Amino acid sequence: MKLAQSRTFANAPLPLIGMIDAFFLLLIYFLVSSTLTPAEEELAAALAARSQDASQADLEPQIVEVLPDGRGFTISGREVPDQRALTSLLSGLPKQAGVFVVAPDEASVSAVAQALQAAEDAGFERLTYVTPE
Amino acid sequence: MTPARSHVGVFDLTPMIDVVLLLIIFFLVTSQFSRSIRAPMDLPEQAGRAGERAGDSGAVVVDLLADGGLRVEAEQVSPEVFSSMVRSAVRDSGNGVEVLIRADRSARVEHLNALADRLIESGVTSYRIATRPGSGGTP
Repeated sequence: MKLAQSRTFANAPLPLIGMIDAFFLLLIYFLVSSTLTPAEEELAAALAARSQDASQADLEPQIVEVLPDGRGFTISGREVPDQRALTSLLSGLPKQAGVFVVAPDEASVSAVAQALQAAEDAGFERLTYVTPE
Repeated sequence: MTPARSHVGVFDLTPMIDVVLLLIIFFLVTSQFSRSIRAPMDLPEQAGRAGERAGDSGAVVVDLLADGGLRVEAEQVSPEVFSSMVRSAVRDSGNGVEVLIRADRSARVEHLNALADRLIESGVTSYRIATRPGSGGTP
């Protein structure tokens, strides 16, 4: 009798319904919460202080200066109104020496990101963010 | 013949499934926590550099707020405390420290420059700026 009972338990089907319910609830929870987390990307740049940049550079890098109040950028004294124009101008310049990005205190972080992105899109490998003295 | 067959019982999967589910839940919850440390920020809208990201575990992630305040792991820290954190991270790691700056897009560069100067003083040679992929490209 005892043997027969244990055999009945062993042959009983696994109650999967509860487990599947819990599994689906967890799946839905994590799917919903992960879509609420916005995606982020990154822009990388080397760091240098203005006092040390010139002495360490073997080649002459392109220097992009961010203008305050969203007025655009300057590169070698030439004013560029927006990010698209900066990208196309940088695309035609030699890239071996890299690009230095300088920004005055009055500019916004958004403009710095635009300058870095433009250099990135133009194909520059060496990006350096130079802080003022 | 019959006793030998009685040893070949049905393999009980229930404890194994329990353990596997517990492990799944544990790893999902911990990964969710590590992501939620990154508080929502109004990041600059740029595509960024695809396929290159700072390691989530080793990188120092700092939020630069619009007013110049610094926040590390959802807690506001003073610039001095942040400098000492970075210095100790540089000391502990042999091959440099990855620093990810999550800066508010409207923050003045004054604050970014001050932060960059602190990083240079602490021995950091490069940094990353977090961006939000979007339309971008506007001046």
